[in-house]
Amino acid sequence: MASASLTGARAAAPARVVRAFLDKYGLICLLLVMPVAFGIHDLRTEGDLSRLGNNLLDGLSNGSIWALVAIGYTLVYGIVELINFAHGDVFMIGSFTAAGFFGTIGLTAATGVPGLIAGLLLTLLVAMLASGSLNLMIERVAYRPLRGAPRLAPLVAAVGFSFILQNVGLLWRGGSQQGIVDLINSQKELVMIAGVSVTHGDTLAIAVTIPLVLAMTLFISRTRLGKAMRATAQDPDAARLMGINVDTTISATFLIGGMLAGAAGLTYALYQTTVWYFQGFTAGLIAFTAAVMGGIGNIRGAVLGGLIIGVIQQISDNRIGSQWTPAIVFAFLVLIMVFKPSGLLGEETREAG
Amino acid sequence: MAMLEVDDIHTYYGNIAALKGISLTVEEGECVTLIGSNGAGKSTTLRSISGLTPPRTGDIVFEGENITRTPPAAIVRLGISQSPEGRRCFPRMTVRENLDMGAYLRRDDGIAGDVERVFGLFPRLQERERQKAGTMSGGEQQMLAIGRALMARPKLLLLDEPSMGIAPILVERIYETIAEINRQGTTILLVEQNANYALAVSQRAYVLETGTVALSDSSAALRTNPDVQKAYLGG
Repeated sequence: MASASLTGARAAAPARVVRAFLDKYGLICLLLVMPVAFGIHDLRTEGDLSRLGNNLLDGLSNGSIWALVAIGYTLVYGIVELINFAHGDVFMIGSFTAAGFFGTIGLTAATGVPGLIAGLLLTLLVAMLASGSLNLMIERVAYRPLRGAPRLAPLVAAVGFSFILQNVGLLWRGGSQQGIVDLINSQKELVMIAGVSVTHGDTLAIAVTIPLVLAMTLFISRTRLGKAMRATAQDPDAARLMGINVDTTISATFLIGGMLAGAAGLTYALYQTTVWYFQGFTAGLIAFTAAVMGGIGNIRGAVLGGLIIGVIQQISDNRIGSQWTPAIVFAFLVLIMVFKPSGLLGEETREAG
Repeated sequence: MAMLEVDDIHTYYGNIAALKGISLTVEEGECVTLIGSNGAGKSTTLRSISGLTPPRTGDIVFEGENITRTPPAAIVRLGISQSPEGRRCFPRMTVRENLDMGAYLRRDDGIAGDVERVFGLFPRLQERERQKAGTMSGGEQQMLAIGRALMARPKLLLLDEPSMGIAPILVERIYETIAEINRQGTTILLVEQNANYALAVSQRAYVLETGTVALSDSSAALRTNPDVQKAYLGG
């Protein structure tokens, strides 16, 4: 009896070790599969890693746009437990506003660098305000009246608002992709570092994203309103008992999420040099996936998810073929969910906690 | 005039009446308790006073001001704060952050001093100052919930079931502290299923049954009342 159970335990030991290893490092291994495989391939065929380096950089700069949009999903979900399906379209309107505003203030490809930077900062502000106030308005009109209603009602309202905004976009700039002035000469190389070409577009995306994410993180951790947002996300009734005005706090959350989407909209327009009424749907889907992958409700998770998806997309576009990219992105999402259902940095949600 | 006057309030959850005409008063400096079984309407009474579920009819008057339809934040500002049922600490904030949230509406410079006061009342909280509330035991979270409510510097403190789900040894400690808070001058309205402790610490009590006041008397008299003993004191 005793010896039988002993051998049983011994046989189970390696399986347990494998299991523990997978639990701990499985996710990291999963995420490293593509870069490592293609890195080895590059080293064997080309002798250096510059192609992979370019993939990673392009992925990170693209991903930082998704990260900005994903934060809006995750902030709103964290505080009202609603997937704001109109968020991608708020991003699209931000793009359209930015693209329209360039022309209005007379920015062209010939504008000098100081004028260009000043003009772009102004445009950034305008796009952020437009998207932010639009998101605020959506909350006020479509979600707040449904606050006490069953979950499905605001969800359907969100889908409805997404359609409304898409049609606004369709009326505004028509149904086809529209090229806009390549103000920053997006694909032009700024510097070359170890074979990795850093373009103007990459620089812009990173220069917009990093300060905004840092500012927002500081805002949420340090300011009174930021603390009210965290408290409301963790327990709305307790927040009311502290004297927090929950409606105002929710409005502020939508405003901030919308502003980040507006900033992403500007970056996207300059980076891609095209805008399209349907861009919000695709970007929204990707950013939502990023938010879920990172752990919905978690801001750092949304940023991480956005960057990871950006890199996966870039590697897949460049190595495997862009027709496979959506399938690969969602395959990664499914695998990550299998390993960690709450997402990469997910924490227990309100119901669970 | 009493500090708090609750006059014939009827409160509903949807179409279900939880309170069917509750009236009570709390004088300044008192500790008053509401006892009663599950579903009697004790917590709903506190939620109505705090403005979380305003009554459909009836009046709540605090220091001469009618607060029946006043939003929760304004009620906190007037001087009523609550430690809610189930503690409801912010789980992913530290002890210190939770206490700071309690002082959310205050802009005076006495906040640091009040944190010290709470730490004096509950030394355990000081040891855990940097710990996330969600990782603490039920008793510690209860201390934090009471401390957090005190941080608003309330004139009237509402305490909902401070003994729920807590080890008996800690219940005793918490009740000693509640008595101490009352001695220091804070008026308390306490809701409790554990009638033994509640009647020991309070001066007056109301017995609630299915949304109405069944009985009210001094706590000492209720403790010797045979019906109360049978129903709530395990006698």
